[in-house]
Amino acid sequence: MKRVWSSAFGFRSYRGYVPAIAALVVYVVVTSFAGYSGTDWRIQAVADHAAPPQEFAETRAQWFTALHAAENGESVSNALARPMNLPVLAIRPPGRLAELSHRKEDLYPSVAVVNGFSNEMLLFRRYELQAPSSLEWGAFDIEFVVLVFLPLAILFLGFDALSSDRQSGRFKLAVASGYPAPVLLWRRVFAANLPLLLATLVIAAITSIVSAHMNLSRLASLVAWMFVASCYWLFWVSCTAFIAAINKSSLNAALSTLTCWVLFVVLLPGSLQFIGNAVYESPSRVHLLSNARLAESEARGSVEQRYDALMADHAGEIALDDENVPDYYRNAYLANKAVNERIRGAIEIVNQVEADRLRLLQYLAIVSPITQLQLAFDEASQSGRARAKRYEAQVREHLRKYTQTIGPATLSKSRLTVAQANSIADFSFQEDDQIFARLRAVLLLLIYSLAAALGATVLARRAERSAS
Amino acid sequence: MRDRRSLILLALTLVITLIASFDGCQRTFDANRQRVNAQDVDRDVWLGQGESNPHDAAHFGRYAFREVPSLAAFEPGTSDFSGSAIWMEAHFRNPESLRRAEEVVFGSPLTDLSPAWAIRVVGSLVLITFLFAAICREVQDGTLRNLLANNARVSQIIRAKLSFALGVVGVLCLACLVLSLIPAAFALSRAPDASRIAATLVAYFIALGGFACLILALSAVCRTSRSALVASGAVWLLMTYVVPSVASHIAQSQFPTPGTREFASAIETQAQAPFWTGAARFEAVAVYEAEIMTEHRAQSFTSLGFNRDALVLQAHERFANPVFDRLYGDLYETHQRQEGVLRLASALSPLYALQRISSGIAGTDLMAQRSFSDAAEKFRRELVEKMNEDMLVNAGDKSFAYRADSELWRSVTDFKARSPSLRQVLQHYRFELIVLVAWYLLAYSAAYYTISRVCRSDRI
Repeated sequence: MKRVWSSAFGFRSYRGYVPAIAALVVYVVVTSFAGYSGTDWRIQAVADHAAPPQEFAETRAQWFTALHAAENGESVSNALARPMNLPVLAIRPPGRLAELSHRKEDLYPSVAVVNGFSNEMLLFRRYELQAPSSLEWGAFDIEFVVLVFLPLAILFLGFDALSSDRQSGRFKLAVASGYPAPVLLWRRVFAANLPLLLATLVIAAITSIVSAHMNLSRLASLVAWMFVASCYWLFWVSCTAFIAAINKSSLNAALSTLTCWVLFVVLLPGSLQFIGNAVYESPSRVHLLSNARLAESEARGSVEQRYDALMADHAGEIALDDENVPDYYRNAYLANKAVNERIRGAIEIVNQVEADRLRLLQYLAIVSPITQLQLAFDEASQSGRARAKRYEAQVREHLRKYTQTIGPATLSKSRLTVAQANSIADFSFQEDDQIFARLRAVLLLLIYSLAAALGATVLARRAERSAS
Repeated sequence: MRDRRSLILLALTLVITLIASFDGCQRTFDANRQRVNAQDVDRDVWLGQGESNPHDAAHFGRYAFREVPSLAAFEPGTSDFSGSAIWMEAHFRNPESLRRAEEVVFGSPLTDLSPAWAIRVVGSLVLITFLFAAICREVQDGTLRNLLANNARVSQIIRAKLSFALGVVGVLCLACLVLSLIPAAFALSRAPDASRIAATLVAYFIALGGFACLILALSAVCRTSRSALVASGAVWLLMTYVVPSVASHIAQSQFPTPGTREFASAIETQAQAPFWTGAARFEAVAVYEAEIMTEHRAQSFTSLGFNRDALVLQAHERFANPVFDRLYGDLYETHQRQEGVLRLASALSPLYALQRISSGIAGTDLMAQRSFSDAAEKFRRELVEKMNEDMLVNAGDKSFAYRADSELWRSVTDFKARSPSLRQVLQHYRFELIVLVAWYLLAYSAAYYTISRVCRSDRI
């Protein structure tokens, strides 16, 4: 048994196991820490989103109480229960497996309040509270460990699967005793790296089970996540086998390992970003803000309209002439509608530029397995920027529907009926289950893996021929 | 250097450095152009708003845009993760918004490329490839014995080994720095600060020199080149990624930042509701009213002919500002505590300590951001007070129907913020500076000791 494992790992004695076991232990500790961090984050995020804040619930309750009273014919101030003042809380809940990919989740808005005064540009604000130095490194999640550390561990454990024997002359002995070189190579690489894959999958599964209730949809996502991670593992195992087969000395193999990691993990994703920026200028929100400010200043209406809008906005704060209040709201509604229509145009232009840029980057990303994998992981775990952008788009859409619903009542200077008010639905974020990124990543990784595996096998055969 | 793969790795490094430098230039040009354009639009919109009520104008507010520092192309620091604009409006203090990091469609799993990052992370990797076998291979090949036979001293060996490796990385560093200064020379309003450039170069030299000595020490300790490479790689990984990532996680879990809703709720319940719907309004208004009467030596407020609504609005500002100071003070205190953890972690990694100092010198760190935020809040208070005072004095009975004209808008100067001076920065990062020097001395001593030991055993 000892000999089989010795042969499989290519170590001559138990002392040779020590670096491999140490690397495995370090990897398991780091991955477990990432899993713990993910669980911690999810529990906190769920607790944060569990119930609306007290004052928000109170505002809504007071609004409905006033509306009920008005509908029952009781005397209610004109400033109360106005359609524009019904707040709706829009929350982006944590994704299905966000505990595995929560690294950048705190970067994007997850809460917005929709009401009749909401401005589409300023709908998401006052959420940038995290310290930039913490955001820079982000949370430590399993996705990051798999993307960055798993390749290093795989490369480290298998980079000299053949070269050390070739250097010491034992390779010739193995070939002479009828051991086919490709079999020797693949057995060693797989045997050394299989524990890494198992550790990754087990820790990911435990993290997901501990973080939240495991229903069918979460289970399906977890299986998809694990499958994508396994393909990534296969890709790096194939690369390692290729490096092990092409290098005659351990030192060269080690240098090739570093080069390979730098190329795939650092250079390709970074260059992709650079090319994307160079071809399509990044649609900056500073620029969007300028357009929105211009649009707002042009659409704010006449001085009288602005006055009415200001009155309506301060309805709860200053003593207003009760009879004029419906007029204030009517004009505030018209002014805000005009502003939002103008801003929407600016936002749509930015969205179009961004969509074009994303399409280009997706084509270019064919050369970068890491980038593809990131997108696939984000999709499988329901996290990342694309989901955050979908949330923003859905909240804006909700605001538009809200504005349409309250429009007739506000323009006719009346209140909503209780039935109409109840029909203003609570916001519920709709997930968009696409599997294209996952399929694309899996396909790409398998193609790359196949190419590297074929190359490694051919090179091992060649080494075998030259040795014999 | 004789190894083909070393050359490939060096070529890759060169490509990364060039891409990072061009990317840094492009990013800085874009950021500055957008800022200048946004500032112009903000000024035009403000001045061109025509007749309007001053409090309405205060609601519309103005924006403060963060300046792009002259070394931002070289070291973006944490600027991508901190907001570049602040909306300065009546009744509310807003946090910095529009973080560039949110606009990145998909980037590197590691931090985005920047010249400073390339030198710290990839440059240190280049040092490893040049130095990991520097001593152990000499021992393996028996060439160290020849050196010793020629009366070579340990310090000479160290100097010889370091000079080439540090020379190559130094050239890369200089090339990056020169390329990164292009935007500062051509586009930014501020010329590159020579003292900051010099401080950056010194910090990089000390940190990379210390790291190179550490690799030499490892090379002397390890028996084979392979084990030296593995040990150096492990140290590199630990210093560049593991220490900052884990420290960041610990900082956030030990000192959690308040959630968006929690913070918004605190503002609503402490700065808004007690005044507008609670009893706090009466006292705040009475105090302010008394102050105004004392100032104008009036018997009653009505005798002054001032507008009462404006009095209430400004009383709210006076009531809310200390609350904002407290809430934002607590928030920034949390940030500082998180910074404290990161600062301690920098003692474990000279490369991380270098990153912190580098972003400090470049003016792209938390300290610069805080300075921007504080200046914007000061400007907001002055702006809102000016608007409310104009309404107070001139509105009379018209109250919200009162309209001011462009003369009032023109009296508001544009926002300008001063970033912390180099002296303040160096004082702020004195712990990291001590860490860098200590690492250098310790690593040099370790290299000297281990190589001396190898030399002694090789002589025998």
